[in-house]
Amino acid sequence: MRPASPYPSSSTTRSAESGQARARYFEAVRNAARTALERSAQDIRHIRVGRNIVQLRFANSVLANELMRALTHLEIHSNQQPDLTVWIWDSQFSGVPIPRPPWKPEDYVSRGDIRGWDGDVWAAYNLGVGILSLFDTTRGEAVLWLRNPGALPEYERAAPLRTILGWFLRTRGAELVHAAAVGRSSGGVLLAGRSGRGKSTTALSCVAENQSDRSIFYAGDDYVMVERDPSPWVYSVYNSGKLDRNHAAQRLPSLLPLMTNSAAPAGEKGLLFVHEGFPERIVTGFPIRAVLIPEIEAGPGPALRPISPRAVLQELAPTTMSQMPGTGPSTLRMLAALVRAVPCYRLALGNGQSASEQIAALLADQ
Amino acid sequence: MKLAYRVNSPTVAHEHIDGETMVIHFETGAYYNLQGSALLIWDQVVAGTSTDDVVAAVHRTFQGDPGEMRRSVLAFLEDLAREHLVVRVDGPAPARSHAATNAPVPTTPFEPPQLNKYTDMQDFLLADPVHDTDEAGFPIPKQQHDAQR
Repeated sequence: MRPASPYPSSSTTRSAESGQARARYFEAVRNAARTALERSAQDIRHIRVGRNIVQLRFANSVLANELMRALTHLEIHSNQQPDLTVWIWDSQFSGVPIPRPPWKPEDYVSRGDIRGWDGDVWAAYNLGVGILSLFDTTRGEAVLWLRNPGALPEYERAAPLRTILGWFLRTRGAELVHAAAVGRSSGGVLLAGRSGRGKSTTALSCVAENQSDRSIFYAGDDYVMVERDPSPWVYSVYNSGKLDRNHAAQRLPSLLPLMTNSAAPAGEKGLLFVHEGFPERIVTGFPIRAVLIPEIEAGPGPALRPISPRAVLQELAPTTMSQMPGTGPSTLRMLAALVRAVPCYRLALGNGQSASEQIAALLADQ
Repeated sequence: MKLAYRVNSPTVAHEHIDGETMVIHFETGAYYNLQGSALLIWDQVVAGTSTDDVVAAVHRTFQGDPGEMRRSVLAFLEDLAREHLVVRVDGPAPARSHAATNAPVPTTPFEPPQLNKYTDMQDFLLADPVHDTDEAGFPIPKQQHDAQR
């Protein structure tokens, strides 16, 4: 199934000649990637994302080790034909130049999309750090080219291949959503809300809290894969987490030794990989029983208060769609259908009860 | 020729939920909530209704001064266009839709349409347009570009 285009009118007016030009550029970049891999000791890995097998062909083990940290909990051994093959390379170490792009400077969109590249071949460019993503939906192949692999920002280490996986999962009827998720194999919750709401703290507290109830597990704190049909379901994609260091020192000290970026500038959150310290606390997926909006709220009162699906959609859709190239009307439609399908609550944090206890109680009542 | 507006697809998505409509503009990162008369006007634009017939729909639905309602509708459509949520189109006059002669008298007081705008997501987007590219044909990364200034 081709991903739903956020630019349907441009798709319908594009000529077959333009489609061939896009296919040619993809093939040129893919061939450059293949050459880069042939020149070095390529590193091939397989991961299972939801029900999909994704083959990752890294140009070298340095790239593989760097980008696999967030994905390692999904790694499998596979001889099956993959559902998606991704070629991952750079020009700096391989010496293979990237073919010149056929689009114009004015075609770059702030979110990363490139106008007109949203039909059979999708393209996006991260203007901040220089990462090109291409996906040919007809071949089931994608390419990731990094301009400066030695200077990857933390958000790329935390959620690598986000754009490509987002495009691919959309062809499978799923979305990569800006949300956290915790639960157990029988069911769990999605934690939605813009940055600063407490999603990460709530999710990571289920990993590290010292308490008798350890029945809630971690699926992700920033991006997770979500399906609405046939029933609402979430799958873990990244085992990374980001947390304010001071906050971690006060509330979740057992996570401090996992933080990888101790030399990062003050104010930047600490990045950790849950799999490296608490692999047994990770769950790869579960049915979604509710969507929660965490809110820091002192004082007594009910921990969970029902809220409208509209309020949840407002916390879920804009933050996902402003960060993910390729999201469009079908994304908004899917997220709206999701929040209509499950109960929605506001989760008060800071009233004395632990988040995981409250979530466990909610799931017990479902 | 009839003046009308249409949704600025594909860069705008909208979804009706809980009696309101959420509208998102992907390129600016701004999102909006529409309710009441604003929601009615938006639904009419989605349906491809001419501007005159949008005004007529508001007259049929709300109670108020017809002139004031018309001015509010036209001003709101211009607001939507200014936000790049809709674009003006000029087309052949559509078939006139006649309100039923026994249509009920509207009782809901007219409240001017409001465009509730949220811009908190715009921080995620890099505002600078791309002008310069390197020898490979790609934009110089913003971080590198800022460091070179």
